[in-house]
Amino acid sequence: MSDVAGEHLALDVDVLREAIREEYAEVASDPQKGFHFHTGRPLACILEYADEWLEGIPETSIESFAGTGNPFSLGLPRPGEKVLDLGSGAGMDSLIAARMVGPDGRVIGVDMTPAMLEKSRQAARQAGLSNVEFREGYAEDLPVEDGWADVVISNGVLNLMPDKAAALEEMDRALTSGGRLQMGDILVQRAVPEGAKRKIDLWTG
Amino acid sequence: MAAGFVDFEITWRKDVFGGAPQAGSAADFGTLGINFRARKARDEKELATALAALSCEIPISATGKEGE
Repeated sequence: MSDVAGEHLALDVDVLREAIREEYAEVASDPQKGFHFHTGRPLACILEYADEWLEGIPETSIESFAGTGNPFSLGLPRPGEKVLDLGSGAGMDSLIAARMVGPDGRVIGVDMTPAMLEKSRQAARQAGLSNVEFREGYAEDLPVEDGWADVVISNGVLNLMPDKAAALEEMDRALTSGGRLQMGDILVQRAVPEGAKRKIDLWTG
Repeated sequence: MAAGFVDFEITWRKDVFGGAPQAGSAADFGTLGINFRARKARDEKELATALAALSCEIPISATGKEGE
């Protein structure tokens, strides 16, 4: 990953990543703890996920869901398509996509938090879905070949990346020509002061 | 290389942090959850057309001085 954003913000990217990893390891291991964001099935309801999308998705995956939007509201992946899920967490969106694309399609979820990867892989096995796999990696350096994806989805992840331009370039690289980007994320209505951008706890909280 | 997306659109926004178990900084910045979409350009021509449509032209007077 480029250090440009980190240097520009005087931000230690490794420290930031570790703080994010710790936060989301807790969301994986103790989803009922109570965070500064909603989680699980109540969050899916707030984000207007259809009940039928969640049918057959293991509760262990749903309980650690921590998105900020609804990529599927922008269009459903079609049978046979290839979907890349950036920051796949406990795998809920990846598993929903895997069921939508069916046996002729494929889904790759990418996440940097081992506890989340373990949880998502276990949920895929439990759901009996063999068309989805989870890979460890960073959005700024995706472990996916050029032009692989018909659709890139992500949910509440881009805001956690210090080098958003690098992440978007990687999404561009991973998408086929004409491929779709369908993202849930956040928007701030008041400018974040430069000094605040250097506070790691503001990135994670 | 720069990302080459077209048809960017924010389709939905909502306060998704209100009432969360712990207080965070979301309210301080008016943070909303959003859904947005875009599409990778099919080719260089489509991207160039989209970029051209984004450019703004500043009217310049006959003397060539801005603001007159």
